[in-house]
Amino acid sequence: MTELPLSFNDRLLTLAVAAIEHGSAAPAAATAPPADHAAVAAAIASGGDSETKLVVRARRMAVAPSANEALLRSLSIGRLVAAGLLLAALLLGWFTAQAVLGTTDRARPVNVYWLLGGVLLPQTAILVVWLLLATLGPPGVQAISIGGALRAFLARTMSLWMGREPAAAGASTALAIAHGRGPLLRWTLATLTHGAWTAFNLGCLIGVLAVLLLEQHLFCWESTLLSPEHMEGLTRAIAWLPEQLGFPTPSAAMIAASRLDPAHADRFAAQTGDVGAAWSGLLIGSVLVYGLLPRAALLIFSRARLSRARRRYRLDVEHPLLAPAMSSLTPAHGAATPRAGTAWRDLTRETPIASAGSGVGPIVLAGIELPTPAAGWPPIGVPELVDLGRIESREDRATALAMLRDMTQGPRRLVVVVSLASTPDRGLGHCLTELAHAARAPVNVILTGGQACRQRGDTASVSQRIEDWRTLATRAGVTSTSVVELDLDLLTATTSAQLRELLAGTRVPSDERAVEPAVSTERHLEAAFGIIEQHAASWTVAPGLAQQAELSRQIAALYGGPLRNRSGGRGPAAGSAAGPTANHGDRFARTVRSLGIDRPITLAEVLSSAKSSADRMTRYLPVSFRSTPRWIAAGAVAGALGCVAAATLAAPVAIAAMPMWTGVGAAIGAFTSISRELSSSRGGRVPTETPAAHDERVGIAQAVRAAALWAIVLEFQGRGETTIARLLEGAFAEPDPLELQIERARRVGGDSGDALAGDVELDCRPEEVHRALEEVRHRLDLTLIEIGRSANEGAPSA
Amino acid sequence: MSELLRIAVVGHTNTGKTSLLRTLARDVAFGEVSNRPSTTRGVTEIGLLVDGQDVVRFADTPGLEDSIGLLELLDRLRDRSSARAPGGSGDASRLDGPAQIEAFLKSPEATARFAPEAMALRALLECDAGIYVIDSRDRVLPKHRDELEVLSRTGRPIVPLLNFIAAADPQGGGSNVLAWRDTLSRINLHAVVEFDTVVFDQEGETRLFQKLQTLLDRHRQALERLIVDRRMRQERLRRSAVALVARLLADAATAVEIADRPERSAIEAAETRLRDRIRSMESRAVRDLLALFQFLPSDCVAADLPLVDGAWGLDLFSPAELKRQGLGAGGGAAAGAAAGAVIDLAVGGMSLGAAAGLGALVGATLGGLGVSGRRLVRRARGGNELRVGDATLRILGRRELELVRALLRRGHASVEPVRVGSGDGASRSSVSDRGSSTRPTDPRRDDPVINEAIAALRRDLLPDESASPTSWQPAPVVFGGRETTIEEAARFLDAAIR
Repeated sequence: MTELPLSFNDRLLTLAVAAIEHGSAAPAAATAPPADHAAVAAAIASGGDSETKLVVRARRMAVAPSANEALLRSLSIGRLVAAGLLLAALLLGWFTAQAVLGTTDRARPVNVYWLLGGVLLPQTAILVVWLLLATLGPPGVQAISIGGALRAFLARTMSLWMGREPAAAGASTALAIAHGRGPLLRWTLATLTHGAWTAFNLGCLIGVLAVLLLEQHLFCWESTLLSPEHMEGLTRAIAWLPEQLGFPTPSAAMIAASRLDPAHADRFAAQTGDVGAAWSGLLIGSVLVYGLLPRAALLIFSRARLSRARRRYRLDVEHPLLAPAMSSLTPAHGAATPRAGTAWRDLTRETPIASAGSGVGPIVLAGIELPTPAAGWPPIGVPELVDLGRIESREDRATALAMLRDMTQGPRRLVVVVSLASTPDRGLGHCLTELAHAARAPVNVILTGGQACRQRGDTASVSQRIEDWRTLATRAGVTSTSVVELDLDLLTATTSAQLRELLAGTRVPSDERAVEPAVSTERHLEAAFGIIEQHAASWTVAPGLAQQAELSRQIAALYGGPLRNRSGGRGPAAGSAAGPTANHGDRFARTVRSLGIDRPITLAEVLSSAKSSADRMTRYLPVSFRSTPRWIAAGAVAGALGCVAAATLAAPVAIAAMPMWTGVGAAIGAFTSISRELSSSRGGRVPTETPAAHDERVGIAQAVRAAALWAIVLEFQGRGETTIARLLEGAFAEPDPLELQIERARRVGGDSGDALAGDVELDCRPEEVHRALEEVRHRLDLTLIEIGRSANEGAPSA
Repeated sequence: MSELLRIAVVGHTNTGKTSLLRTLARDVAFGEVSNRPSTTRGVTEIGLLVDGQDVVRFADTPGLEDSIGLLELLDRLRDRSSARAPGGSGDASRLDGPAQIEAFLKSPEATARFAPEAMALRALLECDAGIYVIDSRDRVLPKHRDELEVLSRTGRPIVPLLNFIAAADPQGGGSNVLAWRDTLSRINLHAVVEFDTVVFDQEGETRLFQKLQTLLDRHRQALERLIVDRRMRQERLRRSAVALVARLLADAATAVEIADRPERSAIEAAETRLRDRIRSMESRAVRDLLALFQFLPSDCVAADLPLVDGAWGLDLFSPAELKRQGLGAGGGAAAGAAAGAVIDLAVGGMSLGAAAGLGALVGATLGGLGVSGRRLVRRARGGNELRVGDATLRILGRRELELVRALLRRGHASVEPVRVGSGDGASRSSVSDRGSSTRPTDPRRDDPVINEAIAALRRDLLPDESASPTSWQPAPVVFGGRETTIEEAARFLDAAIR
């Protein structure tokens, strides 16, 4: 089995297998051959450490044989190339020796020191420099050596020779990784370097020997500066070591005799053969002792170290290449095993209650696990309504059931309110069933809190939640059309009218879809946008509140209806159009009246509730709006907040069919700026979310945006909050149409186009406004189509 | 070795029990997760392994839905039993908690109305302890108290776990956590764990196991092994991930595309090829990173890498040019200098008569240093080499480091994919699946570290034109020490992630 200790080749194999796996296109475990699964199993069973497991696995993988073969091949190629390099070094040495010795004119004597220097000095100097750099220099330097160059040459030649198939590439990768760092790298480089130099020196030696054996040379030395004594000392020093090994070396006399000195030419010519032999001995001895032997020793040393490094090489289990293998070998978890025991079936539908009911009697209201709605509890005051309260605990349930049973006159309807934030579980279902049984009357279920859920999560999951509630109600015996989504946190006139009908029993509306709101079939949007463009073209400077108010009024006039009736055709902007000279109190009162709020409100009441309702309303704003300062600055939000502040005091909402989070741009802006002025004059604190209210003048783009918002809201009033929310988000989603147009225009016109926020908003050209509004209409149409499509598919989207 | 520790994961329906086990087991495919009630319909066991051995086995149970009704039933069973033995025996025959549960499990309701609850309780009885999972965004309701009462009657130690702690709704979530802690401590459950299955926190996981240790002293050692193993895994993951990023940067830094002719069209074509190569390198790296963390390829959505500039016509013989490109001394510069010096030696200096030998030496050196004859010829003909500029490398580094960070914090129960590169090279990873995302952090915060890594890579690695464009293998022309250099770069990057 695998009790054998792991060898270096095993580790190389592991790396190669991992590289091949990585190189293959898709890491699909499903298509892996069965051998691979068995490999993993065997590896885990082997029970060794991580490295052992990796090796065991690698050995048994399907690609292992080809990887092995590739590695062996690469090794043999490597040996060949290395041998070639050594041979080249040998020849280089030979040629160097030849060049140094042989090129000299036969007649001329050979200058010994040129010879020695030429052969020995460069390599010694290089060695010393390299040693210094290797020990003291930065890490990359060690690669910039002869050894590094040789290694690079070796690697390149090998991989070119081996080719590009996966197995060969894997083997190359494995070798590169293993030899790319640490002791293996160091000693590989060292071995190559010293091997090359050894071969070089050997070649030199052989070359020198050959020349000296076969040719007759005279040796000399010359120097202008150095005296014979110096030379003698130097030579004797150099000759000491070769002498120990038995080489003949020149004596002092011979040294003196060898001086090439025109004054003593005769002495030189009288050299005997012994002198030549001695000098030759010195030469050969020096090359051997100072050239070959050190390098050979270093070579042997490096080779030994290399073997040691190979033995001690350990796989880096954190290496990214090995990570997939590691994760299959050391899984974090076992297999998921289902336990015996059958899954239960959902209970079938309970017998439906006799739906007729008594037909007379009070209407009963109950909430189950309901947080207090924004509209309070009970949500609207209706006489004769029996309120069972909000049921949460066992005791609450018992009390409610008791109340139901003890009623002298059985209820004619039971209205149950639940929150969409609660998961419709069987406990709630059971409670609902019990209440329904005790009431013995038709049941209506109201699902509240939908808007908050949609803001938090995606709409699809909320739709699914509504479906789940319908299913739960059905099981409790409630007909599915009696389940209505009605957000008690965001009551509008329409929805509160529906609620009133439910609780007062005037009419039984079914699901919102069936209700036909007073939707105007005429489309005034184009006309409204036309009016906006006209006004925008006429504004030469940033429009003030009065101008914005006039624009809003004209748009409102298009849509007629309740707004026109309310204040005799002048619309809600009437209040702010009164002019700056009207005193604050008058203006305030007028604005309040124009909003349709009949009872007198003091500013203090407004301010005190403004903050809390502002906070609450901000949560319900479409997320994208709330996070863009642009919208806040446009005054629409400011208007909404002010509007809401007023409206919540006069609950239910007085502005017909308009969602709570939009407002009458300029008028409400005026409203809040009035309130700000008043409060600051009284030293009170003002709601802070209205930076635009500081500046009476807003940029043209801001004003256009606010007016477009107003027009869209009027156009689609009555369609329901969610639809309008979707439309607005679709129309004004990033990238903002106005900004887009302006940017485009600027770019075409060659403007620098940065710092959009400031200048652009103020200085918006009519064509840009036109195109932006076109874009808005286009997006609206797309969103309408989408809404229509999802409505047809039956999803309760709107 | 002590016997296997078994823990049941119980709680109200839709509180994230299956998600919890997905995150603990690091498995995106465990069980089924949805927003609907009764998603889990059976008991599934999964064991956490250390060194291939089961250390803890968790049992995923169906959610408790009707605890109010169940508690009523249990009380009835208890009262019935005490009614049956009136008189002196009194309390002795009154069923205690576990006996009530046993009686319930034998009753007909256990297979009908309360089948899921029966399954969950049976699983809990067979385990050593239970983790009670709470959705910390829910209000504390009487039904939860009843649930805890039912669970306490099993007699098993319970560790409450407040889930979705990171998605605290600013309005309600924060105060709900306090309410939960208060409720739990009133019934003497003080060892509460805060967790989030979507935003993974190593410390939170450790604390969960530590709290289990305090309750189950017999299994202290096994849990200790688990804690240590988990920490080590996370460390290893981090290091491997960083090594991957370093590798990607090295490959990108050495990628070279050739334009054979000096015309604009050739250069643009080379630029396109280079861009495609870098992009495919990045997408491969992203896939590898996801696989490393055991996520799915669909768990990351990466925007296109914006290539800011490519360095052109790198003149290896001009140290000034190299310096401008940030190469400094070493690597290419040394190559140029060395080549120049050697040539000087051969031509000028000492006429050692060894010009031939030196010439050969020069050839070998040049071949190794990457200055091939081919390259010289190309330059002579006016061709150009394109390399990736430092700005692009920096963007790559930033993106991948952000991705690694996001993956280290991603729980395996997450559904939203990580988004990389939306914007100016920064990535926004959503903290929770509920849509609230972290503010995008300054994309430049990693720059010092990335710059050092790039400097190390540029210094020690040479461009290589023959590297395969799509595979991840290191280039065949390896100048030696590539692994060392990559290690060094990885060390820099690791410092940023820690």
